[in-house]
Amino acid sequence: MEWIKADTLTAVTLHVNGRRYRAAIEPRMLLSDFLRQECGLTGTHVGCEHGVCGACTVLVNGEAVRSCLMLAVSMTDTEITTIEGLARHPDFPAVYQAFTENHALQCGFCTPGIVVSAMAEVVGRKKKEEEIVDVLSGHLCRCTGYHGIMSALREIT
Amino acid sequence: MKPSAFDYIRVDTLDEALSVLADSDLEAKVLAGGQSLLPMLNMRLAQPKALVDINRLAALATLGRLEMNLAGVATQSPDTAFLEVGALVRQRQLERYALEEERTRLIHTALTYVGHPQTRNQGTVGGSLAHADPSAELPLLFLTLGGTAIIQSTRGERQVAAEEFFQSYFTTAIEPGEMLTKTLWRLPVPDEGMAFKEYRRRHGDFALLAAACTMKIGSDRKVQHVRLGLGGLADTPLLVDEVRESVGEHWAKERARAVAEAVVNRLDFADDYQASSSYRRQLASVLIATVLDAAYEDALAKEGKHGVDQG
Amino acid sequence: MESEQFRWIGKSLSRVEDERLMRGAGRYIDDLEPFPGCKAAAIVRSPYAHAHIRHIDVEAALQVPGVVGVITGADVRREMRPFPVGVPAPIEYYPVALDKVRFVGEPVVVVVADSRYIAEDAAELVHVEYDPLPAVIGVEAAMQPESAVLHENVGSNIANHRIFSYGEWEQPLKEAPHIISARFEFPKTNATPIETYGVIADYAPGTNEYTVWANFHGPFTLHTVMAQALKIGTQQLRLCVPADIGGSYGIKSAVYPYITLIALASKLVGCPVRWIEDRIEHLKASSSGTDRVSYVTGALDENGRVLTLKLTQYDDVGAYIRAPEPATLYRTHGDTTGAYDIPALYMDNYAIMTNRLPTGLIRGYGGPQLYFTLERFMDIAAHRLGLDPTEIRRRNFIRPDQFPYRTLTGGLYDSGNYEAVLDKALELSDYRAFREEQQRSRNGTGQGQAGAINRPLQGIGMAAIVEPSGSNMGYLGVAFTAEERARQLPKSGCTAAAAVAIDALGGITVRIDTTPEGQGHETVVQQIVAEVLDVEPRSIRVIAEMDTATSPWSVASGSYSSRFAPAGSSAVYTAAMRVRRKLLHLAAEQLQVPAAALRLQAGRVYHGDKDTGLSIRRLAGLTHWSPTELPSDVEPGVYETSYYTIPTVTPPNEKDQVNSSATYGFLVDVVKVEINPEIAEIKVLDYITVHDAGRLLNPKLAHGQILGGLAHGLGSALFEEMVYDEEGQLLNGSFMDYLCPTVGEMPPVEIAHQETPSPLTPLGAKGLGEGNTMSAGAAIANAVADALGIEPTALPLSPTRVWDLLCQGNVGQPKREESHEAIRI
Repeated sequence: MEWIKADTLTAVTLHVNGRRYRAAIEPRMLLSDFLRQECGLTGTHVGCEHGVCGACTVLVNGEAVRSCLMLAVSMTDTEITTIEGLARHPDFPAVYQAFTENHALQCGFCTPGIVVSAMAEVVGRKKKEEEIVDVLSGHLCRCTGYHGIMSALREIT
Repeated sequence: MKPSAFDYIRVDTLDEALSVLADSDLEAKVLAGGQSLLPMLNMRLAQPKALVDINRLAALATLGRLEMNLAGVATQSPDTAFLEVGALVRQRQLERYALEEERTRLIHTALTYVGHPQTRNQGTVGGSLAHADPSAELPLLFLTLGGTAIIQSTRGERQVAAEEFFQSYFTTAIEPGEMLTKTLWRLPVPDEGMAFKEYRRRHGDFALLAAACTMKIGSDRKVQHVRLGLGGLADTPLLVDEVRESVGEHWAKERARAVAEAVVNRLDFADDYQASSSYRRQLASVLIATVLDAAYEDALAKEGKHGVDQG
Repeated sequence: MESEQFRWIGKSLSRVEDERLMRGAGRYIDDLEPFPGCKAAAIVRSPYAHAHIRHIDVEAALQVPGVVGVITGADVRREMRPFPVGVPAPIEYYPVALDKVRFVGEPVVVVVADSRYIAEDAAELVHVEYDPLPAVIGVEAAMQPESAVLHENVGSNIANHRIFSYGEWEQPLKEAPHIISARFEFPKTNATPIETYGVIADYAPGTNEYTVWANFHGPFTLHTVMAQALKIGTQQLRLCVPADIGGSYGIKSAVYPYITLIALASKLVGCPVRWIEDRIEHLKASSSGTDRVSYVTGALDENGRVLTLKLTQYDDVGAYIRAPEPATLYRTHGDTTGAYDIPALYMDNYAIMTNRLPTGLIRGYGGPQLYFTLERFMDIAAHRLGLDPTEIRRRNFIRPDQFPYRTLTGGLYDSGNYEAVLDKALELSDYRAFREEQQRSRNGTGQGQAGAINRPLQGIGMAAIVEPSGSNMGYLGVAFTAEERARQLPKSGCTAAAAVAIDALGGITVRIDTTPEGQGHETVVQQIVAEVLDVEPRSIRVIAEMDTATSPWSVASGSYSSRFAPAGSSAVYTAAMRVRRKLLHLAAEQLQVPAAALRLQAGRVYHGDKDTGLSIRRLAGLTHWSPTELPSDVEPGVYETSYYTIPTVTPPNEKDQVNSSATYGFLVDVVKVEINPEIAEIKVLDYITVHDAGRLLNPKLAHGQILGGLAHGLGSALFEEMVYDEEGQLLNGSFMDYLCPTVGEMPPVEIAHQETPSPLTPLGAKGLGEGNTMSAGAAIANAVADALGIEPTALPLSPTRVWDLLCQGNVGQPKREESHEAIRI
């Protein structure tokens, strides 16, 4: 059993994008803040902190989850992948091509979250239209009207 | 929005979890998937002094079929089956499992309405049931199918029937110091018809109104067994009594409307900015009739097939 | 620019911004660490909509370990002046409440600490005592004499009231054969960019200067407002804007009070301060569009020509009429009569203050409100007269030979061919076929049969709107009377600034003042400069960051009113042309040939078909490396700036006419809906929209802007409104309850274009991106009216609202006349 008192700074090591990051943090620190502030991985964005907008989506053990709803301290047994890590993945160039050709991003703030979800759930998995819509519905975008993103996702599934 | 400070306790055994929960001074809250808890912490709507992280308790993540009745005696009948769902089973895990066979299809369908794939990856079945949002799909389904909740504490284990589990808004039979460790869900028999329908404003939203129904029709086309549950209409999901009058009768379309009419006449409908009480009443009326008809059609299709197989 | 074969302009290049954004390497405000030792701020906000502040106790907050300081109203009162406002009324608006709170969420105290977590802990311990006052909710309530008054020294809740009349507006209202009146309501919405407000401020004590980074995007008139409020010279406020902003759609214009507040916090606590707004704060207390109650009465002749319009408009600007409001009422002043050749107009405009979130820029900015009223009115009139809605538009449209067209209210529509756009939209949507099928279907079921309808009902609706772009800084002058204006300095113009430089090794850099938030300005600027200098677009470095100390800029700078295409691109083009002229002049001197005989191709200078051996790199290099060898009329270096304004956006005249925008595009939407009457749910089956935005600089990006604008329009048509209770509490202040459309809510959309270039801009481009935000509400409501035979007058058309409409009317007996006129296609 691990018991960390409130207001205590404890050294925590997380595995992110294949390397270790260590910092002294409070137990209440959100994973999204750990990634951005302690790891300097600012590609993961914060849009709502209540799990709706999807901008903070990262992979934990390969599954897409909301980093704003996770505590950094609880993630020590996991492999975390952020957009920066996925940008080095062999599947990324095709995703990038599809997104840029279909103008699937404008301001880009929601985009990393969408790319993370897409690479975990859509790329190469031959998903049907409703399944792609289901994955994308977990992301709010206010710039594109979603059509460009859907075109890109149809190309890479 | 950042949470206020709390002690973080990550337990390795169920006993550790229960003894922490038993300490009433700690006011500890269970952290499982966190999809309901973390938004509340971030908004400071909940400010517990401690969180008990139970995610290491692998024993609570079991998912499988039980061929037995509630007294624990194995039955001869292959039809009586329960799904044993550990509290830590992720919603996405159950969703994928439930896609495998027809008897669990209703569970799969309802789960596709729960949040989004990304929240289902992390959210747990136990967490959703313990959170007891009256608009949520899993509580509705658990109540409609029927089953048992297994609740544990340092004082031991007790069982609570699904019908007694949900008590009020975000309130269940789980007492302070107790933890839900698993639920047993009654699986519909192979030729039981089933239907689920939900009205919500956007894909992935909480339900404005939802209904689940299972119906078993005999070879004489008479209703043998029917359960209808409604969500989003009260402080808990509701089981509709009026359908019981149909047992032993032939089903007909007018029955669906009559049940709908009877139910909406006795319920009060909330009036708020999302929906007027008149609109909720209309939705409820349409929803009840639709779901009853759909369950009947499904039962018919299965009974015909079953009948053909038999004959 | 002559229309020849362009190599880059008008091509659908993919964006240079995409790679960094997709890799997570964008640099948004919260990614930056511009100052060492930066602390974090959290804001204590009012829980009441209207209350006196009796006492503030910060002692417990100051004791929290990690807290470095606290700012209260007393500090703000001492250090600041009220923000200048855009109306004569003496409203005092500060970035925190001083004696009184006037909306739920209004800042009261700022806490600065080592982290946001600790700042929020301390904020919870700030104790404020309030004496609640009655909350004023609703414009009609706010205008009652017995209503509570928000600003005592104003004496009423009317922040601004102006009456305008043009032409013979009164007579037709007495004599015309058809007089039609209606009342409409447009909701209060927030465009909710996924990135919230962010400010990082630093104060330099010796020189009393502030350096502030913020995701602010203009209009930079607000820079003068901020400096004056901080009691400093404008040169003492260095405002820096990151190259990457996570969306805004106008909303981030109102980060300006927070810029001053956090700047002041930095000064008073003695260290840099960062404030990143969270979502709950954003929904509650950032900014919003303005909700409007409008009354329209129009008179039409026998042929359906509109003879006069009388408009009374009540805008709820929230608790403070903060700059640049009442712009929602006046941004569209020049295009009040839309696409129609209407000879007379009367307008009675009220800006009312109530105890709700103050308003500001948002996508559409006045257009959605105006066109919901105007386009619904045209449909109602059509049906009253037995005309198809398309036919009444044709009879009232401005004709192609009337351009450039001066509207009653001073607007100068530069170019257009409205009927051609309408024809195209009707063709693409198969309008005639739909009407014929509808007629058959209605005849089949029989008119006049009462009873519940169980099958889905389909309808088709349209909207035809003029899309203004490139706002005239002078339009707000009509909030004042002509006499009041005569006592002030005139305001006009839509200045954009740009600089094009070439360095010692031929590297080309462009600085722009258009502070993009996703529109792809870097890419389009590359296209424009590449076109002028004939180089590869990707070889050009575009600096989208803005720095008031070092960028070229003026009061109109920024990104709002879709001004990049008309104004921003023109400044870039002009600056690039200056560079080209300098280079060719230099080459001409060297080669002893006339400059007119030379041209640029692939970065080299050609004389006819012959490569002269001179390159851009060599010529630019000469100006840096050996400046004494330059001709006497050529300065060293290559750095050309353009400050560009369109000359037609002049100040208002004494008749209250003003050309409120530089360019005016046009669009027609045709929408098909299907309504399930049992559950009152609207499904948009398809959405056709045809745009004329002049020359498209990059069709792919234009397409994206249109879709984004359409999504916002769809939001307010069907899903979005900020809902308050009678105490002024926001009931749907989270992303669970404020309903932004997701992918599942978007209909199939087809977009087509017509290009009638603007004669006013060098590239012929007009702004776009707000059009469908302005038109969708009306187009969808018109389709719903067509399906149900009942007139919707309020948005959003949520199922519960549609249900109310269905309960009021008898769907079996349409209230509307069937059209008698054949549809002209």
